[in-house]
Amino acid sequence: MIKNENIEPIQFWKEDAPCGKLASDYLNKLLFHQRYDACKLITDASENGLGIREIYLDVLQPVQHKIGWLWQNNEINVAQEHFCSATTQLVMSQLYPKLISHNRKGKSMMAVCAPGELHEIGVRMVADFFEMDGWDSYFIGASSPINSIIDMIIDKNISLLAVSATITFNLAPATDLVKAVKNSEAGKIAKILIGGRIFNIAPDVWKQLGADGYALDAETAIYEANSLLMAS
Amino acid sequence: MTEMNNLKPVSPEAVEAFKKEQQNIINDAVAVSMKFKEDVEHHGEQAEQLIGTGLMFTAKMLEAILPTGQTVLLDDQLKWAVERLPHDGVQTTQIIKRLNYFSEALSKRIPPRLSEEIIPYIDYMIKRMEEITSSQ
Repeated sequence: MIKNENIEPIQFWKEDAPCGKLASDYLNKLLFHQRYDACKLITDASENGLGIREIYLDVLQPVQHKIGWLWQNNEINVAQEHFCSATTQLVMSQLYPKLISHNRKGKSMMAVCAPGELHEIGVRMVADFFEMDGWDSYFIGASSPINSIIDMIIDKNISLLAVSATITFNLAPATDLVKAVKNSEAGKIAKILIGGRIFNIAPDVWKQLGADGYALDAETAIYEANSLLMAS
Repeated sequence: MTEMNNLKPVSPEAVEAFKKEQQNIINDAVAVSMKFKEDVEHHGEQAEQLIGTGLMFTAKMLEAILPTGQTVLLDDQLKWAVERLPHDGVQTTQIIKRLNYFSEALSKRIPPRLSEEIIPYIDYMIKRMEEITSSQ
């Protein structure tokens, strides 16, 4: 395997952080393709009282970032990367029943990827955070036609559309989606919140898309969404 | 790396012209690349396809960034290229050459008043890649 000596390894979490060891153990299970053990690590941590927010933000998210970095630096191949991502999605499914808030807010949100964007774990986390905050969340993820997104916003009277884009060349499709929603009946119903890797790199770009707001991550998305809806 | 300000966002007319001529620009740049055997023979029989795919990625990335003027997005892509592409057998010196071929093809395919809006983006990428290469 080629090693690029010029690339500095990035630290995605600190080993002595509260969830540092769990993150390292989870990563190792993934890299050794131990799906059952990886899932059990996380579900056991949850059973032992670790909060879903901590599991998402301090374990799953940094581990997924590390997985991406390992692929970028040719330490793992595409199949291994997909195995890790699929396992993390499985873990999230197992945690889902625990994150339902009984304090419902009577608001609804829909979480989608920009057309063509396949990285959906981040926006799935966003949907789950809204669910924990008492919203009705509709996680749609990747590969939904724009018209069907618009129809669903109208049908479900969605207050907020969260759009995520990771890969730079999906900026143009994200713009198309925002414009299409804004120019439709759905644009009168839903505010549009933008997020994802591209917008974290260039935080002003979301304004050029014509969206209503931007959020750095799942936690700030809740705050931004509540602010947007209060202002309208 | 030196700090540079953002570039002027490219007009919708120039972006449209770029999209329309994109495949021709890529074909031209691939054809020129293939003439330099020493830069392509290590790719084997897949050389033409590999270079074409790489330049298509470059074109789609540029298409997305041109209307924004955000060089930080170009920097991110270059960082990705420097980290990833050597593992796929593409060295930074070859990236620079192919960007130059791409730029030349673009200048020939798109009217000057429109290509002049786009060329600074490619010049920026070449300059950055040269800085990276010289620091390695």
